[in-house]
Amino acid sequence: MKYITMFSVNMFYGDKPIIRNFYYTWKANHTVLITGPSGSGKTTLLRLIAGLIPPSSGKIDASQNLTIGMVFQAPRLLPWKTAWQNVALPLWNQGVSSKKAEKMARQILKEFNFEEAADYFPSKLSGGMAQRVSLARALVIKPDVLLLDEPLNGLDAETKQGVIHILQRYLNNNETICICVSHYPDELLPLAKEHLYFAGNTLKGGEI
Amino acid sequence: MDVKITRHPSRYIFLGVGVLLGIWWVLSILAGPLLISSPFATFSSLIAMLNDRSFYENIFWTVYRIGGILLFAGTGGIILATLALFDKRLMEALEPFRWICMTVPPVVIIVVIMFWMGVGSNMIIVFGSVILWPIMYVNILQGSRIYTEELRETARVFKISPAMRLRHFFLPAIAPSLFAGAVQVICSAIRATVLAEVLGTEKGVGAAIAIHARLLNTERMTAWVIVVLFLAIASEFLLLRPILRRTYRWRDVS
Repeated sequence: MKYITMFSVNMFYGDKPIIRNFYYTWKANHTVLITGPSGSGKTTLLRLIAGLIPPSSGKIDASQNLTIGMVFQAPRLLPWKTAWQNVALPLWNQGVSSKKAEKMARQILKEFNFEEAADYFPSKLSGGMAQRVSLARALVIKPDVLLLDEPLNGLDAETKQGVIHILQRYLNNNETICICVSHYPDELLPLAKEHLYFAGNTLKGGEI
Repeated sequence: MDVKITRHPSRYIFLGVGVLLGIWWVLSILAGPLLISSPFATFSSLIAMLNDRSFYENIFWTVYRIGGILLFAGTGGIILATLALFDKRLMEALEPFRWICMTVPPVVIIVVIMFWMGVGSNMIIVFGSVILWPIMYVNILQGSRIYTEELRETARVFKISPAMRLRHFFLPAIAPSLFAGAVQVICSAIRATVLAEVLGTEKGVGAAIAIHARLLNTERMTAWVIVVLFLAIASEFLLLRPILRRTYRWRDVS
């Protein structure tokens, strides 16, 4: 069983406490939605889970060799790679052959209604298009842990529905620890089994 | 300002060349052939030089020295910049050297190097390398800023291997600056080589210019200046533009 457990995690930026004494076990097939005002610590929590920053104190324990797919608030695409190459990059890294990686990248972009722009460089993509490429990049490797930081940023209403549908189908078919951060809980609630929200430096909430 | 790197020179370049030739021709009439040889006399002289074996020998020596400078200044700048990126202390320690090499007038540096090494190809290559390595060094350091913390984090999240990071993240990020540095180094290497040859050798394009200047053979001297121009143009159109076009492909699409 895949898990990530946080034991008494505290996080400070300078003297300012961001997260205080947080215990939690993130499990597969149990998508958690985290909300809260700007600067409350949502992204910091995702960065802790992703291993990008260490906690100020406390411990984070996880099952072995978890692969992580992450969607950042900004798409963070490589400007010198086309859309499909950006998606294929994590596959190349896993040793998938160039041809197979291209096929898989184009296939997932097709699911995001993106096949026509697959050969565009990021400079030619709108914010919403780039965000979809970023989502495709996170999903293409079928990660054990899917971290979504405002995944619907920059998407119009129709595209949001399409993306939520893809995410829902993905989470139903894969054993994934999914943690989703958003300002706007309503749109992503259908994905979640649990809703946590920041109240001061602590997380509150529970099963939906 | 965005400069599009084109495959072929535009007609306005030819127009500029025509205007330049016209000005040159008028000045040659006004100043007389001893000071400024006419375009016709210069190109006739150049064609005559093509049958002379020493013409090719001089070009060989100049190209050899330019190649040596590019090798040492280019690789030196790349290696030092790469090490400096890994260790900020080294970057700071290199600052005085970079500053000296970039700010002391080249003529002072060449006099000192000639004093130590005498004249010849080695002196020219050392001189060119000393004054030009900082160009490549600075360009790579500036280019590395495109490899932002955000891209580094992305690579870490997706557990991209070091080799893949180098190939797909770091090298493409610095490539435009690397090649911009290469353009500057090549152009400057041609200038530095010819300058050093004028001062300190018997063979090479610069030496030929110096000899014909001393003999007041204006036509030949100007013909050799044209050869320098051809060397610069050839290096730009045959070597640099094709590389730059490929490197900037992702920027040109916007």
